[in-house]
Amino acid sequence: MSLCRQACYFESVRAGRSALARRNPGPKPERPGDMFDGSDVVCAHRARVLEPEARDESTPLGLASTALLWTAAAVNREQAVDQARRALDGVGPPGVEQVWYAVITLIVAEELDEAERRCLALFSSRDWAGGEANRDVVAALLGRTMALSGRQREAVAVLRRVISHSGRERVRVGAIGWLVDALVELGELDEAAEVLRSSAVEPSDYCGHLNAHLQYAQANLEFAAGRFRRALEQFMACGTQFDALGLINSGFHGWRAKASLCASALHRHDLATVLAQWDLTHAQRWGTHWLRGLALHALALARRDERSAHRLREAAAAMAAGPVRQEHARVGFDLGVLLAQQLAHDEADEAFAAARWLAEQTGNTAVAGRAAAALRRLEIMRRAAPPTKQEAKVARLARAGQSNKEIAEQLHLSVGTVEQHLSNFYRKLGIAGRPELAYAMV
Amino acid sequence: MLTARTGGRFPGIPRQPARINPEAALGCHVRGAAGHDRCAAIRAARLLVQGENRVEAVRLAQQALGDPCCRDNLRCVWHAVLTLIEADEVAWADYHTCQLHGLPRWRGDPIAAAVFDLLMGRISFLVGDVAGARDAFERLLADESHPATRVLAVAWLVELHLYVGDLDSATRVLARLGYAAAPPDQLPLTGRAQLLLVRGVVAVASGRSAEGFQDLVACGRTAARTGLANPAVLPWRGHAACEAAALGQRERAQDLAYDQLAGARAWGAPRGIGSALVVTALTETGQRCAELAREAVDLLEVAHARSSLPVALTVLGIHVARAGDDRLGAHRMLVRARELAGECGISYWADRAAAELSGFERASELTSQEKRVAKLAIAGFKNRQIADQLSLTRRTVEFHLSSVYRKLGISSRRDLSQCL
Repeated sequence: MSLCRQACYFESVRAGRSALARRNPGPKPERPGDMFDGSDVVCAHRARVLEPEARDESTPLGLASTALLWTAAAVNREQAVDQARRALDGVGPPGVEQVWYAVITLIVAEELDEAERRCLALFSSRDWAGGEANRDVVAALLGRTMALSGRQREAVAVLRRVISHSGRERVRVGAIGWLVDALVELGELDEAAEVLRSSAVEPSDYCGHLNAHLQYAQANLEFAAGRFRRALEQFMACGTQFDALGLINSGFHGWRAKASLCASALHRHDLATVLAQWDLTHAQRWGTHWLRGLALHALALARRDERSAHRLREAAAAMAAGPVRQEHARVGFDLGVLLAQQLAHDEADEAFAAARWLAEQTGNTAVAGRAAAALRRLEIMRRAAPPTKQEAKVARLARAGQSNKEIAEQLHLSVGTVEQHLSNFYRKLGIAGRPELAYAMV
Repeated sequence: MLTARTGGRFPGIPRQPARINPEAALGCHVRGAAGHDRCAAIRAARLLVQGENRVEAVRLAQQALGDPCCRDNLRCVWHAVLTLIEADEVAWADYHTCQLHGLPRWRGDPIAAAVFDLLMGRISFLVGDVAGARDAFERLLADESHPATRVLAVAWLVELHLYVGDLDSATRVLARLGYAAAPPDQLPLTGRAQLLLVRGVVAVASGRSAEGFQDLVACGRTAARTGLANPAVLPWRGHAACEAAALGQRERAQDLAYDQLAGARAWGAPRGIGSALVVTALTETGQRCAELAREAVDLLEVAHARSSLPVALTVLGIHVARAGDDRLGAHRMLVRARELAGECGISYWADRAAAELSGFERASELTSQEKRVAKLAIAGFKNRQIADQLSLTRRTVEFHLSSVYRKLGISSRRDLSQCL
């Protein structure tokens, strides 16, 4: 067996090799202290980790990069966490590079409390590798941890500071992506768009994963705004890059589950199912609650059948069992909508109330508002007639992004009739307008 | 939503086989204690053969490969790794195969070496490492001591040659081993079915339709005898549908294609669904064709099916350009086909895609004035501004732009920047 063959354990790694060879013509010279400009971590340390004999676990940096590589491949979570801990516990103050790798491992492995504790300790210690100058690294990691544990406001403040102060592109780009995530979770989409616009990052200047990270942020924003077609295109594009770089663990962002939700909204059920199932098998292997919750949520919507409600309940339970709070409220909301459709009004009421509570806890005013509106419209629904078939059909087309005129042509109706159907539908479900349709399962 | 059609049935091929025999259906007839029913590898293989519950099958296969008892049993290893491969968890199949291959347990064991070579060759092929796969299969062909692995190597090598568009080599391999004419009755069922499949495809590709159909149906019948209901393992219906579509028998093609699709969906592996959608798209026209093609391509991309992608993209690109109404989509597919085929070293499809693209570009060649107008439109100028800049009337600018749209097959300014 050739050496080359041994070195590539993951198909995606192999697939990405040629792409990378084109981007990085040769090995870059090692420049100590400048690691964030170097080639991608997964490439740089791949050989070391995949060749057991050559694997260097004697140094904290070796330990941390092994941990991150396992994390990237969604394998050996317990050992990865263990190695990350050992890397941070090493003799003397840890280097900035190993802190980045080790803490990211802890975050993706859902050890949020520990990640935060470690970050705060490093933040207050004056003497670790470079002191002041490296605070941006710890701050960025801290911001991500806060955002994931549901403290979006604090996270936004911290990440904004990192973006304006950090001189390291890798940290800045990471922080931009995470800030957009946090703002989207808060429902402040205009703010998020502004961050992406004003961050003045020229994507082509960076190596693949930074590009992909920014593209993910853009996709996430489109997704939250209900522009599913564009969101899906961008999710798929960034996913191809993540895969090519060996970052196959969707626990980093959950892009597959989100792409699956977009595909469901566009009625592309094959793609939606496959993406959701992919995350489900990854979640089985990597073993974190959040990823499992995301996957089950996406699968429930991809395959609307009698098990959907059960899957959504399971998703909510899985997310509740872990420390990550992002996306959690949305599961409850979607469960409420599904139950409302099945005319299980009391249970729907409960689900919406839970979603509202969760959304309020995490500062997500958008979902909280939608849940509150849903609770009101449940009251109306209990009294009013359900939407007719034709009204539902029109609403489905509107949700898929068609204009009133296009719908009218397709269903051989007048534009006025389409408008009438839509407003009936809005009234019966208590929806405020077209943007909210995206979140109402029809 | 697509519904499963009732057609596409063939005598002797029951829809639901009564008895399932994973050993016969997937068995590579390797030595090792016969798996018992509770062994995770056998349970995984059973799900694979039934073509149901892929997620659970993957879980079981991984469990088996982590279990020392199964890791020591070549038969279990074969079943578990094959399940992972067919479930599109190719990365994990590769990971486990490489790890197991290095264990001292298998040193100096020629049959184990052949089995690992076969699995790794298959994995290499699926992820687009065509040269590596060819080497592995050629090595196995040279070794006559273990017929069961050899016949699978033949079948997979022929399939490889077909995918890279090398029909001559495919025919030569079959002829060299004497499988070109004589029905391979003495072979184990698995190998026979695989061989019938590729022989059928070679026959239809060489223009011998009737013979090819016969082989493909015989493949289905052989598979049914082992209880194999998973169409992702032996996609004979898909190949038959392709040929029927090429012969213009649209209804028959659709029956077969939708049957293949229903089975692929039941199993749920993206490569299988993607391939079935490719075939289905080939039997359709217009917008439906373009939709199916887009879905097929996305699924194959998600599955990292890099060896099937160049073929699928080229064939679909050509079909969508002619029968569909999405010229922009067709153009994108062909560009991606050329790029991917180049990366994987599949010159045949790279050339085909390039040839089709140059035809595309000729047809959509813009006049110099149209180009000027289009460039300004991309730069964000309004029609009025373009007219002022080029000293034309607004009507003329509109006229130029609409012929640009028509030539490029697009409908809006936003598509323009992607096209030029």
